[in-house]
Amino acid sequence: MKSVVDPSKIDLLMKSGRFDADWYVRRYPDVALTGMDPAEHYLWLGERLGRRGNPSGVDDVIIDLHQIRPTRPKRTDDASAVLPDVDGMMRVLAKWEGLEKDYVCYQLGVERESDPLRVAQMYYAALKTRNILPNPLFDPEYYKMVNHLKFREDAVYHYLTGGSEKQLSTHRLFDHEWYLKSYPLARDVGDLIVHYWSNGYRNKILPVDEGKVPVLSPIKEAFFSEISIGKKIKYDSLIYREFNFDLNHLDDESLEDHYWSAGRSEGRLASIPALLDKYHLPGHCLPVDFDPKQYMSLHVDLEGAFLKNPWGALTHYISGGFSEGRLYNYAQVNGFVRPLSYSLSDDALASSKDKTPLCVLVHLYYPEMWGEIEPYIANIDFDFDLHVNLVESTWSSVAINNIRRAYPKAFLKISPNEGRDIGGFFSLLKNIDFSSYVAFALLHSKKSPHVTREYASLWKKNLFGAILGSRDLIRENIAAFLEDQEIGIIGSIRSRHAGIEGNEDGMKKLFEIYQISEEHQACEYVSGTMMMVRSEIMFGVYQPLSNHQFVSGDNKGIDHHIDGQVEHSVERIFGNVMKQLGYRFLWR
Amino acid sequence: MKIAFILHDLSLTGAPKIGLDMAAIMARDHDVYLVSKKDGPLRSVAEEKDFKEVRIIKTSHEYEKLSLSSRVAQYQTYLEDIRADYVYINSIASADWAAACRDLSIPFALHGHEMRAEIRSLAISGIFQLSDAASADLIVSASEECAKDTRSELHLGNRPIFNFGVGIDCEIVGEKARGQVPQAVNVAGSLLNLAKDFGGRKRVAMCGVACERKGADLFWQLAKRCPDMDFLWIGPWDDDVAKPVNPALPLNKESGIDNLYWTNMLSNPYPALKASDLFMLSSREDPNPLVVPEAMSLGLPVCTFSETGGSRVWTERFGFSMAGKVSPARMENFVRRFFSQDDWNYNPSDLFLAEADIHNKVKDLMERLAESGSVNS
Repeated sequence: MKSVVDPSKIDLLMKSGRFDADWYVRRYPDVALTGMDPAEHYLWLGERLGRRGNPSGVDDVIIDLHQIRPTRPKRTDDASAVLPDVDGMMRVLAKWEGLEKDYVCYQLGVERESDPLRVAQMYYAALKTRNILPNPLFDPEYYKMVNHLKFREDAVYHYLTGGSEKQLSTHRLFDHEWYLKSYPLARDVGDLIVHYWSNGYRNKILPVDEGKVPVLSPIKEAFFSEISIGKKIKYDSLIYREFNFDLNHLDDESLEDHYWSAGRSEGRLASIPALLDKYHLPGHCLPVDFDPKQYMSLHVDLEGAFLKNPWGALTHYISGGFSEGRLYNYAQVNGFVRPLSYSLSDDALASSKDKTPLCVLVHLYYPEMWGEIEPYIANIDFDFDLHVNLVESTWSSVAINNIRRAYPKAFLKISPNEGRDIGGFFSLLKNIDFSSYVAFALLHSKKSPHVTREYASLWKKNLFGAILGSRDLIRENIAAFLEDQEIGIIGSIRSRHAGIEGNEDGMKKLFEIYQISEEHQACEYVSGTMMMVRSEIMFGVYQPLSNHQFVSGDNKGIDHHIDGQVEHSVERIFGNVMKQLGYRFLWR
Repeated sequence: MKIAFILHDLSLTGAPKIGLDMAAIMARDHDVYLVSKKDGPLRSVAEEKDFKEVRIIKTSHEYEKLSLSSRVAQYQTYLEDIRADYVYINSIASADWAAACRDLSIPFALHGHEMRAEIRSLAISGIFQLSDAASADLIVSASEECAKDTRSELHLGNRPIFNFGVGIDCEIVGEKARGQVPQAVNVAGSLLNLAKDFGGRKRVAMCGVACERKGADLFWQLAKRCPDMDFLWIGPWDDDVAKPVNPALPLNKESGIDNLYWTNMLSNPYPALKASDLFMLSSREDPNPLVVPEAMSLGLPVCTFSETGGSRVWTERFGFSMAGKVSPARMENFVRRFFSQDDWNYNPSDLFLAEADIHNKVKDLMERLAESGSVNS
């Protein structure tokens, strides 16, 4: 295969001594899936994604990006060199066999349109502000990124005037290499998208390898429902139950009776194709890697509604989640969620030598919530220290008694109500010897008056559960810190957040204070500030602001809980400090 | 084994008091020669203990203006006379003994009870030399805070420091608490009979020599803020000891408050402590006052502020530790909230008794001494 990167650049990188190919492949397992040379992958894509070329630490030598910055593949026959006007591009798109008119209309939220030129017009009108897919297997943003197009270049036009012939990658869910194994002759046909829909799809071959991308059976059935022999599925008991959870009390037989006798006439949905029909979304446009449980768990506002009937979440996605751009599986968030293989034996604990594995910090603004937190702490079955911060205006003797009864060696402090949970943690950290711990667990009594009680409850459950959910999980987490020196913070994937919201000014200040370099200023953090943090990072976050005077929260309204306070910025800076120090998140 | 145990004075409280208790326990297994740089009321107590000798070598900087060389010469003579095997220097105020130990190559331990300001002041005044003190075979501290300050002031780097903390003999404290309850007086001359409960009025106590460091003025302000409670200062307030140093005296003269009482000097403060409902440490700075675990051992709830000093090691575990600096407003908030809570049992737990017990602590210390020098544990 011809390299997509100038070989001299690869040579330069390898000679620089700053690239560790073995480490890179281990660190980013998806590299192996591409079959590319690791250095080539790094120069082609890894560096653009902010990946590192070698295991970095605090004193990491920064790769000179100017020297080895990858050059874009030169396209001597570059069709985009001279771009036609929009009308020209629209005509090209309208003529494309792969244009999915219904799919485009669905994305635009408009009635179905049969005129391809009209669809192409609407497509380009909307494309100015949104990423619209003209075909389920053509993602313009993905295409631009992996094929190194310039921002001003039009992805569709580029594909249709040259890219298709080169069979450039078009969508993360269209694995060309895998598809060509089934249709080796397709290597010469040019437009693989059109080939797939005419051939692969009709033979019920998925566009991706199920061995690499899990595809759930109901989704697969719906995906191929348009070419299924015989009548489309009208009734699916699992789906009917989960889409209509008010009928959950019925047994299977009664449930089906209900559909045929009443549900159908009431317009109740009884299958995924029926749902897709309702919203004019062709079955083959359904993303094959959709996972209703992951969709629900990524969006805690859905968890209350669909906790017991996860397939019901599909109705949310099809009716609104899609157009809101909501992510629907962990792979979209994190590339992949690596199953943990760490385990913490007593021998491993003993080998941590002088360090206590865990220091648990609890900020207990609501002392009556100790009973909710305590069971999570009780899951820790090895040596740990417990520090609890209570607040001057809310502490109670009952809570103090209960804490001391359960944990006679606990350290309790009462502090002014300043800086919310962050202020409480900082108060507890005042006399802590950071070097004596492997990691810290941060917990607090969250009520979050700015969100609903149910939402807050689920949020809390997710936050606590990811770090202290069970004995085995806690041991896995500690083992992860001990065995993988790159893991800096462990938190709930459901609480992963990347929004600055109203904290731009605060973050700018903190970037200066913490000396966060530009490449580490992207926002990514555990929303809710409940996480496990490697000791070095905890120190890194604490030290620069150890004498900061946080604002009192007493007698403050709801506004105080919403973004804008310095503590909201500190909550976010954990992620930046972590990356600055050369560590990464482990999302659970 | 002959151990010379050095105190900087013989006052009834603080470092000399805990030093005497430690030395008495050591004397069970070793020949202990107790030496003080200054005489004081603790001498009679010391003379009842099983020491080989109680000797006063008057070299205290508070009374004697002696050069370091002349002081060290006296110490060397003494150490050679008794043929000391080990020297335990119980405070940095006695660290001039370190020079004598170095010259004579006698292994020694230095027990820091002081915090940064005091260590620096002693060094600047020429009481001791940093290099002598830093050459101790074992550094001991009265609290984590003392250890931190000792480390930085003596430039100890990463050398290990044994945090002895403070220890008490709970049985003796309990026994003494059953003694006669003293009377206390207020600015109007009215007496507070500590043996009686006054109609449910709560009583908040503090103990020590009333001075700025002990926060006598802050305690006075607290009393003024809480006229519905009684406040008791156990110790010198307006007697000869406290008069020159008590910043609350002019306040009380100008605006006398009748809910603040004091006992002045007491040989046995424990009955007054026991007759209180809450102990509030009002000190601005206090390394690790013995009265905190003593009050706890008597079943008294205790509140301290973390930036005052090392008492937080007790109150974070067994009492109430307030983050930050002491202030009358925060003390008032605490006492009001405290007394509004349900009653609970403040009997000292087994864990507290084990940790506070000075016998266990001295046992640990002797093991460290054995590791660091020639003392057999």
